[in-house]
Amino acid sequence: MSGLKYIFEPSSVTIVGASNNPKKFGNIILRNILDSGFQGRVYPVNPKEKEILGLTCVDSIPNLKEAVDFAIVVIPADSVPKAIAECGQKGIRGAVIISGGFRETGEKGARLERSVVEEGKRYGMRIVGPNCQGVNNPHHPICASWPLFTSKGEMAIIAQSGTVAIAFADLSSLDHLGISALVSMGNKADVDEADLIEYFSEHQGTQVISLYIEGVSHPEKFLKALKGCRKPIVVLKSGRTNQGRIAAESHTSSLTGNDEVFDGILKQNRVYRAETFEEFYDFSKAVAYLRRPSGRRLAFVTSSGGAAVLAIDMADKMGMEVPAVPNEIKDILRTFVPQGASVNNPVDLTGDGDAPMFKKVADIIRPYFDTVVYIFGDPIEGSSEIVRSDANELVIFMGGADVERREKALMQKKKIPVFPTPERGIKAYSQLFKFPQFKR
Amino acid sequence: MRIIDEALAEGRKILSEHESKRVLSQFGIPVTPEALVNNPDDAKKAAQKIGFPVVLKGASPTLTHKTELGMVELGIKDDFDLEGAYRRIVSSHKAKCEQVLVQKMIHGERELIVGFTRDFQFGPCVMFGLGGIFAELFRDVTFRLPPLTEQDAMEMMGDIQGRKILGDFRGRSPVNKETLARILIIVGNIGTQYEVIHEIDINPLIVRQDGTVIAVDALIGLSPSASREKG
Repeated sequence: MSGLKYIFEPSSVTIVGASNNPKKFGNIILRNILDSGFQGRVYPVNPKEKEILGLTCVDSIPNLKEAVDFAIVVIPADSVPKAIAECGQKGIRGAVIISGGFRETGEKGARLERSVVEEGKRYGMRIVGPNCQGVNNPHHPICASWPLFTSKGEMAIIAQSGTVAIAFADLSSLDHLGISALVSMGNKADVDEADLIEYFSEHQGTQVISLYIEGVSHPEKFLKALKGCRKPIVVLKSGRTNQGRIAAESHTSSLTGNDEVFDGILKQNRVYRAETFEEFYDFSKAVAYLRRPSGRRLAFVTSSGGAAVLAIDMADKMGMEVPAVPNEIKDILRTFVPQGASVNNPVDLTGDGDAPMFKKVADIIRPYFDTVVYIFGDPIEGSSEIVRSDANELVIFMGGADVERREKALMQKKKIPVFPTPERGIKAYSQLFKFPQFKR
Repeated sequence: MRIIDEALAEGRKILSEHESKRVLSQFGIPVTPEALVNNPDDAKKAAQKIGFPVVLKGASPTLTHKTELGMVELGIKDDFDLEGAYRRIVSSHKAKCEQVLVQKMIHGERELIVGFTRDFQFGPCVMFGLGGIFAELFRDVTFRLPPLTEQDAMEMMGDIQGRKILGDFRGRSPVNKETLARILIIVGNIGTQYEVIHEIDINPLIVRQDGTVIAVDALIGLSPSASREKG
């Protein structure tokens, strides 16, 4: 079992610095581990408590009943090197250090961080953090992080910022798509993005690796991980501008590097790059849940002319094609679409369009195009019953209020991604064509 | 390589334009036909051999920014022009030069840049983009790490904003992409093979009307502390 497997798929854990105070991370994380449905053994460690959340407390690491797989460390920075050494002596092989107060605070913290790494190395222990927001694997399940997310999905979010990781997981939970894992890397004292790319490249539940970084820890190791990765990767990297670089260096003491060079490396290694957090989420969703059709010819079926025009503008900008509907097909469509509807591309059903009509049009025009783009621009009841996960379809839903929220949830529960605006949907979809081959 | 060893022995950190192009030429990169002279008579002989029109450039191992210093004379059509141009360069008050470079005048409106640098994190990288005055106006460049595959090189050409310039732009022939790809691959290989080469800057690499490319100006920077060659 590799070191990281102890962290993401442990059968027993200890939380060093567990607490009875519901405001402390030592309590919140313990509660989340239990509430996430973790099936293994859990040992809180705290010398001053007898029992925490119904579990018997152990007074010290050496007194643990077994060498657990995974230790979550939530004690003040000064005490962390000793705790890691004790974990190592005990035979524990995986740890996450939540506590801050290390390299990000100055020279004294940097010294502490170095001794933590030394102790970890001495005992062959892999360590995530310090100064991080933990890890979550809803498939195992174990949520050694906060807040609690339990929604199982196919996107692994790995971030050098706890907030970015959490915000991503939050969006995907609201979308009923979930995550395959969450890792907040913090200071990356030991485990870094390259280790995690290697691990998630082989991780069964993961279809896409979504990586937010401010800088690369070990360039050669990173390149090797990119080259060897079998899953698509979407990267959001900050610190691209001069001001951004200064901010990144003070946030996690990261060397941000030359962005033009980094950009070339991503292209050379077929890594998708997002420029904003919104793109980061949208691109990940598209790459994880959509298949690449054989061509770029899009057919639009819409109930909103305006939304379709916005979509077509973006399609043109992104190098997609919007060819006309063949004349003989137009004649067929005219026999049943509402009066005033347009049968060009877009096929605009106007506000009178309903779900069965969307389906009828889509089935007729599908053979003439590579992809059918549905734009549900109104409260279209039953739209979730007509969209398919086995065909090349892109779904955009807007202006549908409560019906939209209900139908969208039903679609995404079937793993059919729904995009909230025409521009975001088309832009994300066009990523599938970014490289000559599509991993997945 | 002898040119590099000599420059290092003289304590120099850059090769002159002429030396840089000789190095590039040895690796098969097309460069302007040119000759280094130190008197007007030799300049005339060189010009006749190369063929008018020619360009004269003040040459010295340490001279850069020649245009700004008034050390470049373009479009010289005959011996008479050449004499005047020669005199103006050697009597320039802005900079001193011991020699003059006589160079074939290359026509072409499309100017590209090909470079090699060492990134402080990722090491050797190859750069490609718009060159000449465009390089100063807009930064339109793309990078890849060597060794480059032919596909990497082709994708670099498609990666710049101004990629249309490589097509049949304004009635000109499209650039010979195979040659351009080969140049990008070679530049990456030179830099990878010779640790002592810190940077290579080919600017401009001119695209002629017929789509062929040629290095018109070039500079190779050295880092004397690096080992000479990778074993």
